Amino acid sequence: MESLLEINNLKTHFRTRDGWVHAVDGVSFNIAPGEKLGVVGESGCGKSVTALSIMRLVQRPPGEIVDGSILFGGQDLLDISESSMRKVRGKQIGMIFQDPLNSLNPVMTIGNQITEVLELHLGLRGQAARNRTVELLREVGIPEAEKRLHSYPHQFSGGMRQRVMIAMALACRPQLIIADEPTTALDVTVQAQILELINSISTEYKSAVMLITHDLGVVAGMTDRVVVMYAGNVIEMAPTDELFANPRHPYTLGLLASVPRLDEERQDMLTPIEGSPPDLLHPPQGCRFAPRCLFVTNQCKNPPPLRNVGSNHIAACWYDINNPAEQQRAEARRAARLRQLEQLDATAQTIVASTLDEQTTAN
Amino acid sequence: MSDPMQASTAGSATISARDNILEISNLVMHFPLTSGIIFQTTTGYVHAIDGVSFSVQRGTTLGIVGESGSGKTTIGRCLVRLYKPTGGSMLFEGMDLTLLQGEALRGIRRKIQMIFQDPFASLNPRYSVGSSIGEPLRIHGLANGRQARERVEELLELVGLNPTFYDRYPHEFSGGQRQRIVIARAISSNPQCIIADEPVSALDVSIRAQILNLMQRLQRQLGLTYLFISHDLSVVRHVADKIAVMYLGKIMELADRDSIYRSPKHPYTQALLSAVPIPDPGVEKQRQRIILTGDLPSPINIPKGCRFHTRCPIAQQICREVEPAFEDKTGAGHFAACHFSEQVASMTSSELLSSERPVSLSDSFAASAYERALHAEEATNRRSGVLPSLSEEVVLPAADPLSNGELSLSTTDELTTEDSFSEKVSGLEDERSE
Repeated sequence: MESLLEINNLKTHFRTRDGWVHAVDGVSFNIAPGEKLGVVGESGCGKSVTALSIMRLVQRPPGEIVDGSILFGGQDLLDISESSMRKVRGKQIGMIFQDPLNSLNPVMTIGNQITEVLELHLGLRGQAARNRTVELLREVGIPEAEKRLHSYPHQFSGGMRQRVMIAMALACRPQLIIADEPTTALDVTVQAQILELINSISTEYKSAVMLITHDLGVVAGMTDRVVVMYAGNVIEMAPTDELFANPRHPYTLGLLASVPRLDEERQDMLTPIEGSPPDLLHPPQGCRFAPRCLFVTNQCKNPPPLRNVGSNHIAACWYDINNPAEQQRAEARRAARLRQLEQLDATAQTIVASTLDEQTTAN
Repeated sequence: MSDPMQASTAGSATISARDNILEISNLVMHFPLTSGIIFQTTTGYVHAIDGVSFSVQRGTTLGIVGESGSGKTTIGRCLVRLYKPTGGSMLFEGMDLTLLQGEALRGIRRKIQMIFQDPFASLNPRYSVGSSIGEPLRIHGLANGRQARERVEELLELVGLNPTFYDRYPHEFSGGQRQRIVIARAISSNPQCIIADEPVSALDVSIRAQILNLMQRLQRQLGLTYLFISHDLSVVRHVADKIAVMYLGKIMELADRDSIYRSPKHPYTQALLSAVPIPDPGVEKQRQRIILTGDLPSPINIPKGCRFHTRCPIAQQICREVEPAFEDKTGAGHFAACHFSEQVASMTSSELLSSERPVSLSDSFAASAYERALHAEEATNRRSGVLPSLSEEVVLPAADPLSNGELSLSTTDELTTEDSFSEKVSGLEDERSE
């Protein structure tokens, strides 16, 4: 299948006083026309930097795209001039950011901001631009669109602002919409509205969507395929149903296990992934998830390649985590960690007991 | 604010039970809006909390959920007296927190501690971890010098950190570790009650579970009582024994964890439950959602009647006029403030959450939600005074609550059509804006 966007071995690094931070370190994936792709990962895993790299919005310095290519409709976005890039941004690729208040101009009316896009990219003028703006605002569900043209961003609620952002991103019917955590700043009830809107409107416009989020639930409901990122790498990629039914990377498995689910019986204790994500100034040699992984062995000192583990399903792990032998090893390690926790529990108990003693003697 | 108050006081009398560490009744917190620089005049009030009553049993967790702006954080801040409430009482072990001042207040604060959402903002970057955690000890004169250091090292160990971190500074730690430090500080003065305001919202998914487990362990070991404030329903279900659902400054529903999730009695709770994304594509793609239209109304001009009626999928005439009482709907401590809670109860959470939904009464419910979405624009027009034609689907239920003579309004025939009612409302709004 021909892809709309093809990212090959993208490396975006940031220079800091302490050295280079490898925020995106060899990321490759593609998006087909009209496809809805989810990109999930924790903060600092490089998902937003990937999006900014596609739009060539990484600030330089400190950021720099050191390697790789981003093919969009056949041309490498990293090679074209800034003025041609400006024609891609907003026209062929639309972007929706996390915080709509910071991404709208506070001293321009909503109407003017959308009209600007139409004038720049489509050459619409005057009444025609105005009519199209009203039409767009109606499409994203803003009531009394004509009146609202003259409002400023601060006069809108968070959800309404995000609708305006969506209207702007869609103004030129782009082939690709990048939505970077579009609902993270919103309440659940409003989140449901906005996701529904992005879903229906992108289907109508036949736009591809790259949905960046940390919320596995959002990905499950919205996307066709999912890319899981960890510490600057893609570690697993599969069709959405397949990924949730049959995760093949220990990190994906751990993530799914650590979220409390409303539709399941409540567990007494959650199963967290121990430890914290690595420091990208000095990423661990080999597999970057190894320090937190339950399946880890000496083999993991070598970086695992992304390999095929099923149809359209790739994962970067040396092991088949469905294999009983591997599972036994993970089980043993989990048991060891539980014992550690119990020990901690016991020490804590003695600390508590001694404090209680002190209190009684003090009284 | 007479009617709503009475309704919730009536509720609180029945809630109270033995060994309640906290008993909040009729708590009100209004923030004045002022205009003018020299001669300040009060032009209105933000009704952050509008008569809230609940109690918390010792050693248990009460979860408070709601959207932003629902007043859940204000409740937490009132309890540690960062705000002085406008009205109502907050009994902590029988002592009214609203009346405390000076030394007595400080003494109480030792027993009620707080954990904030953002561990990057709630630790002083210039204090070492040890001095941050030890500060409550010094303030309350609990320990000094070497004794304090020992205690802090114990606390670090208690929250799963290395005691050698004592002399390090917050910037050296990740978000999850910082939240552990904040928790250590909160428990350092041996509090009985901890108010946790969105303690895991700023943390990554894989870290969240670690902190929740830690909080549960500490609760078990130290016998802590938690007030767990969060917008995340799946997290609240995991930690809380009892849950209060807040909307626009009032509690809409209050019940045990399981009954609130299995059979919500308020349409708002249902909508919240149905809006939570579930990490399972099979469930997600077939799920029926109740998508609420519009946003939270302004807490300055609270809608008349039931404050949820502007977004409610099953709102009827009565909801626009009469504030529903907050009362026990099952006789087993399941409180809700809705005129139609029986109708709501027919749609249980298993139906909301699973992909297979049996055909039941709830279909009419879903249908009205759908129609509601279709007429979203109309609804907005209605609110702003533009009068649409009378929608056909607004049919009063068989047991017409309007006919039982409870209405205090003079003529009932004035209210029989929606048009005349909205005329009335828009008239009122005009008066107000003048």
